[in-house]
Amino acid sequence: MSEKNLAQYADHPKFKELVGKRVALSYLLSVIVIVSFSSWVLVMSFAPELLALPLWEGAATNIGIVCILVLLSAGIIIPGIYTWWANTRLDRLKEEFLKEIQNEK
Amino acid sequence: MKNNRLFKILLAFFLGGSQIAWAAGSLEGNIEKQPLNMTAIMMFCVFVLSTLGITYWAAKRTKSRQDFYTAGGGITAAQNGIAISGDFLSAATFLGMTSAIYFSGYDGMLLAVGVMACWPLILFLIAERLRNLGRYTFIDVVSFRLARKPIRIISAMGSLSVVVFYLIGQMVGAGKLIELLFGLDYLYAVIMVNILMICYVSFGGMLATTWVQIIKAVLLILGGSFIGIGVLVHFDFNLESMFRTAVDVHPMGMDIVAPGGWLKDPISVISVALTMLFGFMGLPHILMRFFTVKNAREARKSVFYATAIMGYFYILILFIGFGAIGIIYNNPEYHDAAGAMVGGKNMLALHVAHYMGGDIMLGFMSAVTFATILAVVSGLTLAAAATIAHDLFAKTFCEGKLTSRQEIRISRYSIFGIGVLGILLGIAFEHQNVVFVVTIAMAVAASVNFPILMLSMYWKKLTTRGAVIGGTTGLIVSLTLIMLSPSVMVGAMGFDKPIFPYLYPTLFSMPLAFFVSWIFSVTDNSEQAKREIAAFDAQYVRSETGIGIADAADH
Repeated sequence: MSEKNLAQYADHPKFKELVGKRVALSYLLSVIVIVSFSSWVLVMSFAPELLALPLWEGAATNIGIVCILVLLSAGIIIPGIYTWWANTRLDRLKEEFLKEIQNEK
Repeated sequence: MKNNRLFKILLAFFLGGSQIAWAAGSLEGNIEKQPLNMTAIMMFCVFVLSTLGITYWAAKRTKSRQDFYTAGGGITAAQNGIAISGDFLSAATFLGMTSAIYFSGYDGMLLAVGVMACWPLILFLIAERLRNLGRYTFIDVVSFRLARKPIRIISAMGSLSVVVFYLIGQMVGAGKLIELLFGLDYLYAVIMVNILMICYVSFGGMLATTWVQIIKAVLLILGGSFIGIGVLVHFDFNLESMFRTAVDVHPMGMDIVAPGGWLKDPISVISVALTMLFGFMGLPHILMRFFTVKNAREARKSVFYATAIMGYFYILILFIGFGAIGIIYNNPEYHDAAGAMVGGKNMLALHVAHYMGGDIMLGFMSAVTFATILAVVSGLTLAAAATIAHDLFAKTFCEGKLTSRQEIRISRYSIFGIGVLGILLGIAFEHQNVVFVVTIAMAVAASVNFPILMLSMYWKKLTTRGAVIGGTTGLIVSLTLIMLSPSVMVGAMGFDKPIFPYLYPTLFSMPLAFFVSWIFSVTDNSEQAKREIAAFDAQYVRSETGIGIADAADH
């Protein structure tokens, strides 16, 4: 497929739907990641006492430790969600798009 | 005084990927050569022999350019994921991070969390589009619709700068580490690392490099799990009891589990966060891994596998670091008469290994630590060789007229040259404080490679002129500001006060690179610019759907 042919699909409704969905999910998850990481860094810098609060009276484990565990786990779960969703839903949409343009030829 | 030390340790850490440089920095003062450790040397020989065997196997299967740079594109998602994680599960993560947690507590985990935050972003913003657009290097992607020569040259300069600086850090750290672990002289250590690396990469290309990473990552995970679970068992899987013991034993008391407050002004905070979130996106040897899989779908899965492994390992590190306080701190076996740790601070994780599994475990983890050095250095060298042979020679100087065999031959010469350079750099910087070279690598990656890559993939109006001037600006500004920063002016050159007061230029150089690229693109009204803008749509469709990507060979 030559470059010229490809350009025409940029306005194809199916293509737009495909990209729109991917971008929407990407933005949502990116915002979650950036906001949570940044908040943690900011709290660490400007209000570290908050992270030092113990989980319960007299505990050595504190909120800060829990934050680390949550952030590390999120780093696994979020890509997992995206990959699963993209490999099932998105790729299906993409196949439909490819079939459509084949038929239109 | 204590704050200064903490500051220096953390500074080294958060300066980015090549955490081994941290090992080099803090090893300067108290390097204690271990006696020749026979178990470790035996295991290390086993490892070297098997990886040389793999290289031989890989060499027979590496015939074309595609094989050499990207293993024919037939690496599976799982293999690639493990290989990618291997770049981040470095010796310095295992040794350095555990040590930082043990001595300074909570703040030691900052880099781990930063890495786990940046990978989802890489997945969403880069992985798929890169795979769909590129062939062998990220520079292929950048020059997709822009005028090839100028773009390739500036991107190559950014790429090679990052690699060279990264390599200095790795070399010095590697030499010192081997000296520490095996009792081998620094010079021989550096020479040996480079000779082995030349063998792997020039004969086996990306295939050998990938498999060396995979094996090392698997061994590291197994060893780390053994130690980590051993620690948990020691505390009956009671986390509270583990932290309570740490708090009770450690001189810092409750402060050990709380943030240390090392980042106080907003500019440093933002700069650190920016460097961490975006710096990794510009590292050429990481980006190159996305081209080794068949398609975007496999690229996504690779990232997921990689993050799963990295996340798991970082959690292990957390437990090993804090748990070790309860186990090692008052243990006379690991401290000398003066109360200092045997072998220096970096030996902590190995002491825990020894505690859990005796000399065998110690030998095993030492050999694995050495393996991680080799693996990362190999990846870096291949990325640099690809840039020199493919982007500079084949595509720019020789205008695409090189045959596959000629190009591979140039790659091999480059690899040899880089190996020699590595030895020279290792010798030259042996006694220097190399912490600052890592800053350069990360900052350049964030200020040159990242903006050019992002803009070329996502912004229709980017023109060659904008990209080249923007990239050059990023390169010059970041390098200059680093030269004027505390780490260089005060740390390396010995001035009293630095001209540029912040550790990271990123906050200034990265936005500046974007801004300059923007200004010079929108004011570009040439014919060439119009063509480039018109070509965006085709690139856009291909980047999202993968129509037209080259077929992959199978492995």
